[in-house]
Amino acid sequence: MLQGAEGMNVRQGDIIENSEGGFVQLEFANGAIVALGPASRLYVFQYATGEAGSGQTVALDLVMLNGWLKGESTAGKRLYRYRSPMLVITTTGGAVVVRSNQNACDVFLESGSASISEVNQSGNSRQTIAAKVGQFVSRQKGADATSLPRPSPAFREAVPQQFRDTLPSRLAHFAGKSIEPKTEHPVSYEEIQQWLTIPSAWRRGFAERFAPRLSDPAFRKQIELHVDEYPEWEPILHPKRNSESPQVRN
Amino acid sequence: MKLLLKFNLVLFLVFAVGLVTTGFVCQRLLRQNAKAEIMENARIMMEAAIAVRTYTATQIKPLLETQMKYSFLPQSVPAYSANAYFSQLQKAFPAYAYKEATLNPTNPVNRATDWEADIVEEFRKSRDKTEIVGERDTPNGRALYMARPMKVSSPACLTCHDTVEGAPRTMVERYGEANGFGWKLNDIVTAQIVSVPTQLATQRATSVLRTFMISLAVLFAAFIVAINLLLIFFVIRPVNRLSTMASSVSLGKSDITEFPVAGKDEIAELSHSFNRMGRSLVEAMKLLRT
Repeated sequence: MLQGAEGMNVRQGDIIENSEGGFVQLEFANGAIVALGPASRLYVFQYATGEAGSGQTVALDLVMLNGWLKGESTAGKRLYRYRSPMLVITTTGGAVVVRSNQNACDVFLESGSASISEVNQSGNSRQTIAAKVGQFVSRQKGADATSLPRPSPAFREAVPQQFRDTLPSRLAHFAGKSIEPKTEHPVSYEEIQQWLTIPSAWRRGFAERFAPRLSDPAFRKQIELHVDEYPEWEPILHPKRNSESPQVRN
Repeated sequence: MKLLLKFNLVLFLVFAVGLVTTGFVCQRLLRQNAKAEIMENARIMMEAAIAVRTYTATQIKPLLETQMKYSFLPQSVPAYSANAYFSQLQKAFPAYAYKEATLNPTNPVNRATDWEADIVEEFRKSRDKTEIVGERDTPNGRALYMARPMKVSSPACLTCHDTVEGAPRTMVERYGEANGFGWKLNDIVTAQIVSVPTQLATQRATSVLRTFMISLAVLFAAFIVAINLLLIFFVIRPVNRLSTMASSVSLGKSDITEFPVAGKDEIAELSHSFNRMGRSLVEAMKLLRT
């Protein structure tokens, strides 16, 4: 676990969490700006810095577990994707505000256009809504997504104050500075437990990444207990058992 | 009629005519100045309102555009900011007023009252008219008002005032669908009306006039007193004494005390001649007796 510092670099694969009163702004070299409201958890799933090719390429793909996110990007060929356990929002530019938790997700399209898809347990998308400016899409757990022409009063009331304005770029302020986060402690099972339950397609690489933590008996014990939920850990927990080839008996 | 009375009557008449004429001229000038000052105040207020409107439209509104997608912020409306500015001003100057009187406003606060609606209609009828100035009685006393027309000069205005469907949802949520729609490009829909109290400037002019007239009257009085004293001490008294002396000489008295001569003015010359004449008469009478 690292203690973030203002101006530090973020890389693909980083997981960012902020406190109840915290506010985080991420600026990407491709021009996208993403802000996280209080008590938010975000995983930088994919991030591309190169020029857009002839086809549509994914410039940014973020997974938000819970909290508030505002994503702003300039219109173009590139795709910007914001995933939550309930909905996946894909836009080619514009501003989108997302509130997400384990049981619900609300999306408000401030500007631009977006396609908003429902997500099933395995992370696959279905039933896509083509959202227009000002549209509000909401989905409760176990229900279909609903669309309204305006955000609900409760949503408008709860939107973090910083999200109500265009996000100002501060990247130039930190240009040429090398700010390193402070190392706190090795990650515990409880700290990543919820990330291990996100759709399997989104959590690829987590097992290899956190495998060194199996040396901690408490961590290993919890993984062993829940291995049915995270089958990708099985070969790492029991490499011998999994390396034996199946025998055919007559 | 005595000399002093004649002098005083003439002086008083001249001064009275001068005082009345000066007072009349000064009153006219001060009233003109007061009106010019009121008009100047009204123009400054009008220009300040326009400046606030421009500032809001060009600098504040763009900053609030994103926020307006969540809830309507009247601070982004030029009319609102102009009114808010004058509300603050009114705390210090309660008799001053500003209103953007509108026939069909979005915010009911801006709805034109009877006399304001007449002004808007006047501007609509006479489209070349750029300003209407008048006076009216208000609860705070007599006031001068200055009105200017406001035209829907930009299609941007119609974003909020054309149709309910085209208006920002947050605005409709706040003010409803009943008012402030159906405006047309180049229509005169509003009159900016500034109201400035005349009482203060008039009172100030009256006070200046009173002070000036009192000062002038005191100056005239001092002048009359000075003239009187000069006449008494330098003309009337010596002449009276010479008269008494002449009477004594005419009665044949020979022990007449000579009149004291001081200075070289006309009275001194006269006294000197009179003493010489007295001495000559006494000498002549002595010769006649011997």
